Amino acid sequence: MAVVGLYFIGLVFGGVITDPNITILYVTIAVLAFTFVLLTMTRMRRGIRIGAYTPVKVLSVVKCGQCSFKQIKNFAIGDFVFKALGKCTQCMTGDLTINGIYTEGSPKK
Amino acid sequence: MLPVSLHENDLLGSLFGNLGTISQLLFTVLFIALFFGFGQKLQMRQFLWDIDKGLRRLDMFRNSAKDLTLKTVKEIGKPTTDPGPSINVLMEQFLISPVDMDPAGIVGKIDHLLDVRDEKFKEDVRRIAPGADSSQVMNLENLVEASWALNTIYRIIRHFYLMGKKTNSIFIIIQLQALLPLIIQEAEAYLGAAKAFAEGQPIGDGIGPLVASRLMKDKVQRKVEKDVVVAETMMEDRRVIALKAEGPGGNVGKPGDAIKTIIEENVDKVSMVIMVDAAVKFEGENSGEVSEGIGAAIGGVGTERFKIEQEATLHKIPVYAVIVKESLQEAITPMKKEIMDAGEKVIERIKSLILERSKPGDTIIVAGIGNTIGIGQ
Ligand SMILES: [Zn+2]
Repeated sequence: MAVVGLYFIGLVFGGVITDPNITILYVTIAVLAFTFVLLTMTRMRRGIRIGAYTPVKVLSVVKCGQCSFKQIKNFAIGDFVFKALGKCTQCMTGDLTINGIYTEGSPKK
Repeated sequence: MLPVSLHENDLLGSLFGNLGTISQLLFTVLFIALFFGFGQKLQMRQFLWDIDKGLRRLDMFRNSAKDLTLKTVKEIGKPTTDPGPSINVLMEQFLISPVDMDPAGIVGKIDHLLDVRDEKFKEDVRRIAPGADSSQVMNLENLVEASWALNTIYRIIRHFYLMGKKTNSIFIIIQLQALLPLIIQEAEAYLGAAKAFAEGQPIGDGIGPLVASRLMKDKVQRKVEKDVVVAETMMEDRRVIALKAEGPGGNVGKPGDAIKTIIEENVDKVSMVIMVDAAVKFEGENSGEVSEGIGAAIGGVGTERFKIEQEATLHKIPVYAVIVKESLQEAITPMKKEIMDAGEKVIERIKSLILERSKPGDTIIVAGIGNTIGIGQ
């Protein structure tokens, strides 16, 4: 289609044609051809954009039952909500548990 | 003679002069032919090309889900033999739904079938992965189910693609091409789900169990029915019985049976049932929005909902629903922060519902519905 467009543009500016009607016709064809090419290209780009799969980052929130200790770490296999992680390192008395596991929303809808 | 010849010359001249008009006409005819006759063929070719591309993506999805399943089974299952063939058998498994010409009692039949399938699936997974503990078996089962779904989607789409190609039917092809983006989106969500299941991460659908587990934390817990845990707590001077599927393995349990059991244990005492669940939002709504309504909020085939509705009607107990809105993709992929944060809002809603609709001393059932993967209690 790009070739068709270029060909007709060439015809118009080649100077062979004198009838203005034909010039208009050829320009129209050229514009149509280029529009088609453009549309196809945007379609392809959209297809690729949907295609990319981004792995999500999952985080675990660790909280102490006694003090205000709170830590956000990367999710490790075996983590689950309300899993006990032993004693708190800050107050030495409270139990650490995972309070929540979440992923920060990716920009993609 | 002369005028005639002049006339002829004139005609010839005007004919040559009108070459533009003729070529214009020619082009018009060509365009009409191109757009109305050949256009459809051209469009069909383009559609087929699109579908082919989509199909290859689906194939890629199902293969990576399958690879992930194999890898996870090998890692945590410690199989003694190659799990590949057994997983392939599981991938092709099917369920024949009962005859519905005479629908009386069909819920029981479906329930029974699902139980059998569940049991067999779990048994098979346990056999393939002898090294996995019970919650890992649950997660593996979920994982196999997600790759089963991807495999099935691929097989169905390929079927219609080849059918459309073979019969040259533009209607099959147009429908397929129109639906494909949605299907691919869903398949992508399933792949995300497979990854969450493989690692045991909570998914968006787990908001119900998460809320229930917040209520039942550090309380005495017991197991009722199949894979459902129950704990009692006090809230605004009311006795609240919270229940959820047993975690942290991927599981939805049978909350219908559990609610029935609890109501029967506390005949005439239960004054209301509140169900917490994730619900599919409409496009344009915000994820993590909380809203409430009336009725049994629970998805699935409908057997559990049927049981709850029947029991509630029998004892004239009102059933309220508090839902958290999320998209289908969010429901089966790792839980987003805004959904997790909605948990607090849900508890507030439950409190105000209890205050408005019950008296101090009443017994209230709060059921956290959904897949409890990655959520303990
Ligand atoms: Zn502490």
